[in-house]
Amino acid sequence: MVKILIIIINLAIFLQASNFTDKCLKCHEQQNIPFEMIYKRYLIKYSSNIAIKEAMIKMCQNPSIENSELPRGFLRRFGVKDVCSLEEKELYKAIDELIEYYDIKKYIKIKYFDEKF
Amino acid sequence: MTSEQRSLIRFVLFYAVSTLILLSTLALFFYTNQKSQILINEQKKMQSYATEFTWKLQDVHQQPDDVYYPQHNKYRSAIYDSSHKLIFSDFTPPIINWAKELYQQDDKLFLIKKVKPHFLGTSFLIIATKTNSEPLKQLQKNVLIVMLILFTVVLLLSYFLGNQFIKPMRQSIELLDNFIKDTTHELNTPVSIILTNIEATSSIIKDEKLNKYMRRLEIAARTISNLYDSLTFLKLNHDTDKSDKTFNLSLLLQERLQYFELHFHSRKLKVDAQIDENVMMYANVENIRILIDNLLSNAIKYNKRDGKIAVILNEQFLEVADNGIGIPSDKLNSIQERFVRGKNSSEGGFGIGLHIVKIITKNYGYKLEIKSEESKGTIVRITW
Repeated sequence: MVKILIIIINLAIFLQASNFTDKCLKCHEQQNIPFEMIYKRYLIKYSSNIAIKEAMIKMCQNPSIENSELPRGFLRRFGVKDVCSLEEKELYKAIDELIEYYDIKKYIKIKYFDEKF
Repeated sequence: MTSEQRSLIRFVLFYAVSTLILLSTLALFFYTNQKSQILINEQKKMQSYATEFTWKLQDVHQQPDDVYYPQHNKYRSAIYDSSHKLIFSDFTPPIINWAKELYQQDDKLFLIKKVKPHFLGTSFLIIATKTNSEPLKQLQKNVLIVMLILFTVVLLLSYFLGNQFIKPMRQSIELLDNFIKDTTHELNTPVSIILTNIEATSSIIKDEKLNKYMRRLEIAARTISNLYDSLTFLKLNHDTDKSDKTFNLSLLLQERLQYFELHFHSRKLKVDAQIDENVMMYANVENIRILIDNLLSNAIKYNKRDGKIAVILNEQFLEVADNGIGIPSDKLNSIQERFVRGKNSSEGGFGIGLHIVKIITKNYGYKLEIKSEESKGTIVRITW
């Protein structure tokens, strides 16, 4: 009984978490527009995760050349994206997952941490 | 301590202190300036590293899998996003003072640099280093050494300048001392001859009127003789250790009262003497004689005709009181100084009597008290 419960809970979590992978990542991979590159472009411009999230939401809800962070050449080739089909709540969650997934802090390597400094 | 020595010390102190204040102010400015310079030099090095770090940050941003976080053996770093949230660091940073570009906290120096573009999301880069206290300690040591040397030079200079400053005063005092020395020398022989001849003449003359005139001559001669004694005392500035002995003070006082009898009589002064018998004293007899003579001669000089003089001697004190012109209250403190006189400068004297009394009482550790009221009289008491 307990085992079944655990499976159901995990499935629910998986299904809930799939907003980013299902509704965003799949399409971006098909069109060869890597999220990692997009995230880094937002990171280099907006710095903090809060600012990155606000900018991404603005772009998803009101896609335009002015709101886009992609290079102009890219936009000429692929055009401006369509309005995101996700509901607001789902969109927020998806972007949180994106930021968490690509958080660069996790990938930084360090040789030595000075604990005594 | 002489007045010229006092003046010299005052000048040296005043000059040295004021110069020291000026030097200290200059030293402080210099130290602060040099300290800032040390800080600026360190800041330049840190800023240079910060620029280099920013470029390395770009490499990490572009290839995080292949490149390590930039590190330095002397400096530590931390990167923050635009909301001052820590992204990454190679040490545990304290609470950052975002208001300053460069500041010191405890033994560490912190530099804050703004980063744009925001590689790895970095808006603020913190570079930290441990402060090197050596240059500052060396600076402090140098400043102290220089200050000490300068202060020594200032002291020597102030002493030299002070001596030059009081030279005219010293010359005047020397002139006066020489005058006293010459005067006393010239006085001695003629006064002795006058007194000797008066004594010889008095025994021959039978005429009463002539005798009266001889008495007056004797009083005048003795007055000069007393003055000679006082001036000699001042000039030689008697040492108390020499020839002190035990003697009968009561007898000495009676002898001096007898010596001045002519003076009392000439001014019709009534003398009331209450002298305890056999009051002994250990001192120089000549000095005490001069002290008594000066007290009595002042009581005579500044008394009115038909006035009174009261003399009291016991085991505790000697007191001479008169009901003469008194001393003005504003001169009571200074009357014991050399050449300062009371109200009536028409009476004879150079103003050295009480000064001599003060010197002698001070030398023997006696207490000198002077109470006086104008037109009522003066009481001088010496307590041992």
